[in-house]
Amino acid sequence: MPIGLDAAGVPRNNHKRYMRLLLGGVLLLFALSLCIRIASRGFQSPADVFKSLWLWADIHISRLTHGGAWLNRSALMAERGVGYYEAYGRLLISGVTFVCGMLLALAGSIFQSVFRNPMAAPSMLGVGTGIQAGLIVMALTYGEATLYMPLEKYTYCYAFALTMLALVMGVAKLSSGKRKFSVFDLLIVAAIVSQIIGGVTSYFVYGMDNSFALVLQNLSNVLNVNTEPVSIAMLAAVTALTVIPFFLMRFSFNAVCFDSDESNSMGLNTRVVKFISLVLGSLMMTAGMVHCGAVGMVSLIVPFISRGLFGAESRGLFWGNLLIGGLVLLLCRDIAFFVPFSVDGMPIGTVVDLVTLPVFVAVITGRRRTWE
Amino acid sequence: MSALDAKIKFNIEAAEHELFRDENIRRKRRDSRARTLTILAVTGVVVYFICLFLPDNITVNAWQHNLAWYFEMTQKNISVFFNTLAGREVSSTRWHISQYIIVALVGAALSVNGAVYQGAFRNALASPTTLGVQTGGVLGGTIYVLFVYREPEMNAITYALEEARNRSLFERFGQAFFIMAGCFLMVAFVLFVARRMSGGGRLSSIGLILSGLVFGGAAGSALGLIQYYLLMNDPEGSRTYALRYMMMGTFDYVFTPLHLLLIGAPIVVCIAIVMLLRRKLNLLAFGEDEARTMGINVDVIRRIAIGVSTVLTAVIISFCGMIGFIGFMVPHVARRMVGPDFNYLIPGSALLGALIMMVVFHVGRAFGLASTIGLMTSLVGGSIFMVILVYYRRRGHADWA
Repeated sequence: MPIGLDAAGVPRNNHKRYMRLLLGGVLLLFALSLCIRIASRGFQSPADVFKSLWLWADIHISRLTHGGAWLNRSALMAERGVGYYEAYGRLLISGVTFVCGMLLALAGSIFQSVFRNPMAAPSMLGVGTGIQAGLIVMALTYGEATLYMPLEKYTYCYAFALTMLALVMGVAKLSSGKRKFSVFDLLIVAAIVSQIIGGVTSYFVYGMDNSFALVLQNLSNVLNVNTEPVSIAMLAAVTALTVIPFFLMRFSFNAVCFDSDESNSMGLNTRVVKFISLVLGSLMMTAGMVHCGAVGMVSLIVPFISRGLFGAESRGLFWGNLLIGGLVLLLCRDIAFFVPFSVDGMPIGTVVDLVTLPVFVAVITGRRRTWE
Repeated sequence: MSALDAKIKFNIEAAEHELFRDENIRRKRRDSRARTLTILAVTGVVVYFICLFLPDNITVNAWQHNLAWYFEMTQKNISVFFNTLAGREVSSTRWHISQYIIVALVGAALSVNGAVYQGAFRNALASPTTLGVQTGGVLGGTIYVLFVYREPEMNAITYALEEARNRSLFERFGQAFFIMAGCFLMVAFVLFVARRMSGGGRLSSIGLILSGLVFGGAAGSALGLIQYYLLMNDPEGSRTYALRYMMMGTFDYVFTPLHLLLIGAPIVVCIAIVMLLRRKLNLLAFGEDEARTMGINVDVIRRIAIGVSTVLTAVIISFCGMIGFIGFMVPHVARRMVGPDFNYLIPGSALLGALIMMVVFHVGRAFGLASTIGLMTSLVGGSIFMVILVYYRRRGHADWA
């Protein structure tokens, strides 16, 4: 595995040490967040959590082999009590959150290397506006029932986000005519299209009743992570669709960081790579925002941190982004749960904004000025 | 005159023509810009009167689609207009006059604001909200709603007309003043943070934009939380409604001469200051270092520009709410019409902005959508801008921004 190798292939101790520390931190935080209770704000003992998860694994393995634990499951579960459901639920919640963080961080790093601009956020291509439009249409169509319709929510959100992306790309293509497709075109077109769609949607937001507005807020803030099988399947599908191509193309992303002429001369079709990476990044961003709420800041900040720790090399950055993104989002989710804002804690987006603020200040006061 | 003389004369004329060619071109361009500005100004005045005279605020059923009806309405409106000016008749026309003046001034101010920001930051995507003015406004408004706000006993328009005469200025415009103070505080905070982060030295433009983005975003999401909390716990309370409609762009509540004074005076003063700075802004377009070598104090100029723009934006969003896209779009279009010279760009954007704002407002009124004018400008302005972008780009003009 090419972690911590510099350009010449010489192992660099610092990178390896950081990676080990990071892995340890992730495992520790994951274990900690498994111990958090769901029914009340507190912790279970790690031993109980371990036993519950062991039982869960046992039941599901013996389900395949028709073993005793599967046949006797209700008694075994009743013996463990509510702690069993809490541990199992926490496992799903933490897993979903971690994967969302991974996706967001990867999306941010893709966009920053393709646009060669440290300010490029994946929501710039109108994905965020598309999701918002989808949620508004849903809230106006189904009312309060929306909160219990995960499959429809995903359908609407992904459909609107992808339509928005296609619209932006199409108009940018139209406006660039026969000339080359420029990044500036894309950004300005995306800003305008988002503004128009945002204008239409906010017209409906101003017109809607307070009850609908509350539904909309609940939908877009994602106070409690949905862990129904359909959500897990959806997230797994999107993750597989995006992370595997990204992993296979990580060498190309190194080359895209150069000028397009230079990367063309390296035998790379820059336009194809850029197009693929924009679509991949937007999909990842959509998945992160649909499953975890308005947490776009993760994709802006995490690539900075990981570039500071592991250098600008895409292959090492890949693993760094995965782990740091998951770590940051999981940490924010845990903090959010403990703030008594409502029954389910507070919206994770606010926590992400406030937690990443000091990091941002540190990044731009830092001497290295990677952002300029 | 011999043929030789004629030839010599012709040669002299040709040489003179060659000698003064650059001067001629410059003169021609200046004339054409001046002509464009005159055309814009005249169009603006014409549109102002047309807007006043054409029927508006009529329910859809009462519309008659024949020319005679329009003439009749216009004639009626003209007589009412002059009677009102002469003081012979008291009608709603006198409110409409100040309202349309306010609308034109706000359009002009927003566009000038956008032109100044785009020039001062040398960034085509900069718009008046870049430094977190909007978040500041939400901050001030939220504080007002949470701590000062009392439930109104009557409709806001009735209140502004009748009850308000007995109240002090603060009681009448408390929310606007709070929003304005919030805007100033937020921008000052962003400037302070950006300055500290750049080590007390120069304010770099990308540092400013980034800190505006991040701090504005963080404060905004924290404030959104308050709205969400109120919505969850008190869905039908008047405060919840007040927070939700706080920053909605509308001209419904600004129509008296007092409003005109409160909104118009700062706008006129600020546009005058920007006009005084126009040559320095031109030099700033070369880049920070180049401008510095030409003897411009870049930091001072940029601070003045930011200060003036903040005053403009704060006045507008505190009285009229958020009005989208005019500040972003009009400078780009005006640059196509009169060129990038601030000497012409500022009056050009002001006039064009006033024109577009009035047209959008009048169309909104005619179709009963004037209450959500901020959204209409996004929609209409965005569509116009998109068409222009595609049209010019396809013809190979690639010099936007």
